[in-house]
Amino acid sequence: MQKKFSYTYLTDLCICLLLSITMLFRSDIEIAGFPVYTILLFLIVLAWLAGRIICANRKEKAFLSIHYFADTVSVTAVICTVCSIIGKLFRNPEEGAIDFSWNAEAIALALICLLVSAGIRFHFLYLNVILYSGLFVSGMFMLTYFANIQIVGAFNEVFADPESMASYFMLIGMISVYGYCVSRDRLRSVFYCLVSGIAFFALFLNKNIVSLWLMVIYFLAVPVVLRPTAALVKRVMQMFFLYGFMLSNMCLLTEYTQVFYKDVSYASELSVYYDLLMAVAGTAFFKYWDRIPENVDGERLVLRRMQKKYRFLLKLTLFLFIVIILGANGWKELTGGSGACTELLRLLAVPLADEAGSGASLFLNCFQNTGAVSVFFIMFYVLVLAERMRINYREDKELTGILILISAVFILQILFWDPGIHNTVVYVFLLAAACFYQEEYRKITGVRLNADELSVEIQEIK
Amino acid sequence: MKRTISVKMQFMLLGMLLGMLWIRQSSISSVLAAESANAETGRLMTAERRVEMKETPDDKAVTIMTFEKGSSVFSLGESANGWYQVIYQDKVGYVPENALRSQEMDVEGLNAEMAQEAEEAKFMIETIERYRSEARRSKIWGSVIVILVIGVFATGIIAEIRGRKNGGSESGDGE
Repeated sequence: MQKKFSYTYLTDLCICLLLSITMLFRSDIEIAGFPVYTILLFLIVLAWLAGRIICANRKEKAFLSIHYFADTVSVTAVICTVCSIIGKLFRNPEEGAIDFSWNAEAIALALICLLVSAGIRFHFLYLNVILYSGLFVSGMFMLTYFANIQIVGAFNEVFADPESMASYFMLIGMISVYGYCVSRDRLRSVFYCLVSGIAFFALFLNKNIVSLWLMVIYFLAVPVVLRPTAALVKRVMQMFFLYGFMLSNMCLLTEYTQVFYKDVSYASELSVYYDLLMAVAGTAFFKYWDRIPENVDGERLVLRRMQKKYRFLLKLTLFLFIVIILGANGWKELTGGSGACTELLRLLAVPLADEAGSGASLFLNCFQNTGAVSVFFIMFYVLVLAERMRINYREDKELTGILILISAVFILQILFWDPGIHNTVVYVFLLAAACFYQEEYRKITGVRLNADELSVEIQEIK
Repeated sequence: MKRTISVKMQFMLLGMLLGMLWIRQSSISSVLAAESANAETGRLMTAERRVEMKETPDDKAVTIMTFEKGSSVFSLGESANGWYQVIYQDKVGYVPENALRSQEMDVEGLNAEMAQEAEEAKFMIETIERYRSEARRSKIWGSVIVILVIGVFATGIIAEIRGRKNGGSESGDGE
């Protein structure tokens, strides 16, 4: 970050504020009919936009140049929302008080996409800011379970929405896992590992089954999306086994101790199956891992065959996920077959199917609040951004890859529940960065052989 | 003569015996009477109708307070003219005897009530002990979580500062 005040400094400040206040400034206090958070969000985005306008006036930067089709869609979204505001102003006052907060939030989100597309430098600091604020929120969340402490009123309503908390803890978990996988400093790795553990534990306390499945999908997708070096695969598996170990032992805390003040239960029978699955997975993994020679640099060894297996497992898990959800209530009347497999399927499928069917997706909420046209527009926008992500993806672009993966998990989430404006702001920022951030990466352009040494030509590409 | 004296002495002895018996009988009956009289004092009585407690055993005396039908009062004893001396909330007064009725003591009911109160007291003590232990446990776990979060926070900050001092870029940074 640059020290003197400049557009870059303003951008960093606005982004850090946006990412840190997402859960810390939740309040039901309203000013002129707008929730305080909506006002703050709008003001921060306006400040960011104002900085861009000032720079455009000074001819330092272009003002929101439209490079991509997604930019056009964003501008259209802003114009449509402004028209909607004007339409509401002329609405019959007898219909009741007019709520503009949704319009303000929609404009802010569209402007975030436009401003990110105009060009930002994505620092890892942004992800660390999310982790620090997430650490604070996770700690307070755990206090409500362990210590029976009445948290300050602002968080009571937040913690009462399990789906919103599931989105948030998943975000913390995904970012901390990525940080652990790519960190080269020992102390920083310890930090990311501890944050991951806390995020996983908070996720298990929250007990949203869909989010637990989505985390498993994330773990399987990391070596598929990123370059599957031995070091990366090893670290991902360490986090995956930490996740599985903690999940399988939750029943010990819930069924055999009385440490929790709130009602959380995990079936002890299911934990046995988790342990069996982990044992089988571990055996298969180490059978392959033992073939790797010992003194090989993990950063330079790329495990393509293992990546294929991960790709297969990812497809299998996604297929199983979809089949269970499509089965809905049919899993409860599961008959036929006998033994452990049927029981395992019933224990896994019924809670997932119940929870997937009980939530209201973001699209449904938008339909209820704004109508069918807005929903179709949002779906179209999501598809355009997904296409933009696909174009921006390269295996060499590590940060972009993980941002794309996080955005994909977000798109899956909104099919099951509404994450809430607080989580949506952070996810939309990461999604916009995944679509538009031009990460520098290294591409090997040539290999030169001579009698004395082997040299490689590397070109820095943006 | 000797026979006459012995007969007289026998009659005297017999008379003394009878006299002693009579004295004993009268003392016993007076004790019984005293006890029965005492039984009339210091007992719980119930008002059969709305009645006023007077300062003196006189209908025209000043009224201290009024008892509703069914009120329980403690009788100190029966005074003259058919009035009971009663005490209620540290106030002594007189109530006509036809307005009060002895309260029959339901011994079994009282025992059951006392047993229930003992149970409730025991339950309350156990509940208070449980709340205390839960509060103690809350404090311990709260402290553990706060220390853990602060420790992880500090680890992150120290790692960040060390990374900047070493001049290396942040891990996975796009720059």
